Amino acid sequence: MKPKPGHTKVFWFFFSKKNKTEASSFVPGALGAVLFALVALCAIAAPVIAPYKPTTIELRQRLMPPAWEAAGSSRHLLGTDNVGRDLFSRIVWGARISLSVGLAAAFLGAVIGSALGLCAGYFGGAVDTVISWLIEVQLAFPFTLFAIFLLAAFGGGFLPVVCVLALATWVNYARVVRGQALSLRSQDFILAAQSVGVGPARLLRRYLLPSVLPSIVVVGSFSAAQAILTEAALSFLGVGVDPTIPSWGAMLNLGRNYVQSAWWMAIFPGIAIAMTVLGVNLLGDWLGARLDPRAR
Amino acid sequence: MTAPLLNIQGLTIDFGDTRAVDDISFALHEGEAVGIVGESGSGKSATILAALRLHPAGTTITARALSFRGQDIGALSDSALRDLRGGGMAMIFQDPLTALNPLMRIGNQVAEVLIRHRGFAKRAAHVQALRLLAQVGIAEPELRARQYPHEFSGGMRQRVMIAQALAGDPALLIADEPTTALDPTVQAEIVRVITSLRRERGMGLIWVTHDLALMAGIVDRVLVMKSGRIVEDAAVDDLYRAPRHPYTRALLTARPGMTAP
Amino acid sequence: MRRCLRALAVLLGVSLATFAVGHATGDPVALLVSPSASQAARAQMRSHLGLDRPLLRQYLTFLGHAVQGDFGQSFIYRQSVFSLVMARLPATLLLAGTAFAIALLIGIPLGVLAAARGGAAAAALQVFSMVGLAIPSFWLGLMLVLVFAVELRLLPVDGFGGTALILPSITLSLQSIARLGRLVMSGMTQALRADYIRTARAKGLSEARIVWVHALRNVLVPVVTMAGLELGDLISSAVVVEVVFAWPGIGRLAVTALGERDFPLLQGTVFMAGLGFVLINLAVDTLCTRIDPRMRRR
Repeated sequence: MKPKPGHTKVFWFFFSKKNKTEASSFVPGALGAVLFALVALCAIAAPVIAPYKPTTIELRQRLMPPAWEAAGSSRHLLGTDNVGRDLFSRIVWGARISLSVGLAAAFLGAVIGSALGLCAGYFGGAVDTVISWLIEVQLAFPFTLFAIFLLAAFGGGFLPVVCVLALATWVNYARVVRGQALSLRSQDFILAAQSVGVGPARLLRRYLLPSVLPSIVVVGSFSAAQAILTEAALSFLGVGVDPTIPSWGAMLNLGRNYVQSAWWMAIFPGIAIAMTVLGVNLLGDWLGARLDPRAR
Repeated sequence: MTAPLLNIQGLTIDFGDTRAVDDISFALHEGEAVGIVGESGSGKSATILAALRLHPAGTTITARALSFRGQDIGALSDSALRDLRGGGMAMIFQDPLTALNPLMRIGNQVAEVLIRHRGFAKRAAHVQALRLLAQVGIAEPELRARQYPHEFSGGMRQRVMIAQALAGDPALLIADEPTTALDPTVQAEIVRVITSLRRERGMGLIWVTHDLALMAGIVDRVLVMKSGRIVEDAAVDDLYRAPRHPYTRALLTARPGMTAP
Repeated sequence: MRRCLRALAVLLGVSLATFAVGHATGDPVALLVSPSASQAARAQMRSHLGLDRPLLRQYLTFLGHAVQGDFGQSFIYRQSVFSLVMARLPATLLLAGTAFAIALLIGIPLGVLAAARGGAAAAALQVFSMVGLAIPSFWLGLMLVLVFAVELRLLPVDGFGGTALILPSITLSLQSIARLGRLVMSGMTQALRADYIRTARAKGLSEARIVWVHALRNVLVPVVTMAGLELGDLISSAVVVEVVFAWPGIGRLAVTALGERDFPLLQGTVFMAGLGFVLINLAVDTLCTRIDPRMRRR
């Protein structure tokens, strides 16, 4: 005899085909899905798609323009960089870093942020005050500066960068989840569960969590986009993940020195970043439109 | 024979597939007061909104005649329409809290009508606005004019709406359920303000309501609407004494004690 | 008054965080002293920090120094961190301020017009803002340099002052324009559907007056709030733009400090930036209550 109305209700909305999306939000959503799929494909199938290894240096081929230019060749679709590495391959491989960091950071941020947000909203009182204070302190820092500061202390690398990015995004989750938890905690199905003696841990996990899950997913997509952009910025500044694997931001940093002579080095990685972020944002918008108003 | 103040003939209003108003006709003469009574969905609000072309987007309006003092309302240019709104016909809405701009001082909201329609300069408009506020029974107008709508009670807000409507010196005042959202004691006050000011200025009046009993003492004539049609159009006394349509009878008996004045 | 107390509490948190990062890596001396420093210098730093004393004491010492504006010395420049930051601060504020002004002057009217016209204009703004938010600012900066400085030779590539301000401030303002424009558009669309707008029309007021005088002020509170956040965001994003355009502000200072592992400089910069942020937010909050009379009751 377990009351679980909130639980099933939410998943039905999430996967229900009855909620038809209008054409106006379908097209951008589809575009987002296509863009994201493209990037994901590059990330997953990089060894297959990329014609060259990203680190292969061919000094005789250095600074070749893209294939459609006069001096270009079809062997290097987007040209080569200053040490002859194939730009197209490096961009394809770069998708791995952007996506893995972005998704890992969004996920970690989701876990931390949602947990704190739920506790703040559900327990209220001192817990809420402390967590809200943490949120405000976090927001008081100009983030890029703080990220540099942290990474200067802890060094670069995958885990520190992911942690720092998670630090950037947890606040988004916490605020949204806290608000929802605050309004949900006085709803009937929660009160019913409490009256039969369901403990707080179980309540949070089995009752509140499923109800806030759609919001978490939506915030998640925007946080992933934010994380991807920030990772690119950090790589650009030299505190990225790993100097040996190509990251789009680091490629832009390199391309910066060759803006006048080899414009392709600076343009294409940026386009890759923009496409990825756009795709994720469009997907997030579509998810938001699909999940939010009907869930009330 | 002078043209009627407001002439509506064969008016039909459609919201998409639904027909809100179905071929209704009536005319209002200078200085005449008419009540339009009906329940929600009867089409009464749609009718008066159409008169000022304030209908929501997606509405189709057709009419054989829709005119103000002989001028075709449908054919008016945008600027002529703006002259008509507030200057020829003015409207008071049901919920004064949402109908007034919450972030603008009351005095300004009244004054801008004076500036727009009566050509007052800013300073003079504010002085006149104070006079109008006093006329509708707001005490301490100098203080009140500098306040915002949320600082007023419901009844006072409605008085402000009336002042605003009168500022343009209109020939016709249209009131869309002005007392429905108010307490009964305040209702009587607002009724008094509207009726006395109307008589003073010789304005025409259209009072839309769902409360038939309210119309006694306010209007000369009553139109009863049901499902988009006018089912009865009679002088107020005749209506109460001998209602012809069963629906009117139903409305009357729903309020015991009002059948025999 | 309550807001000031809250701000103080946040500031406390800022100081804690800045202090903690320095000490979290185990050996703060390794961070706070130049890598080439001698043992004697390290020992001196150790006693100056009071590393043998309990953590709380150390924090209080840190706080005490911070309040006086003492964040130590930078190893690269051999000057007090405080003076270095203060010297560079105006440049960053100039850049962020200009970008902010651009964002307001372009973003708000764009949003208003898109909401008032609707249809194609609104869709265009949506597209523009989606794309604008996806473009990394440093890439945009590079592109603008490519077009205007390299190809067209109209504007300088980097430097400080008049013409050199144009490209970086435009670059910096793009994301803010996108966000503000969208916010204003959605707020205005909603405001224009309100009852009081119908009343304004019934009063025969002109469409221009209805849009710019009646509707706009109802959008201002969320816009000012977001604008305040944007200003903070701008200062944060200025870091990267400053690097691209070699603009001598605190962002570039921080990145230089990063490159040379000049930790005191970094720590001081971050702390002071946090302080600045808190003050800005306080100012924005105060501004909001003055705009919306309904909020004054609180």
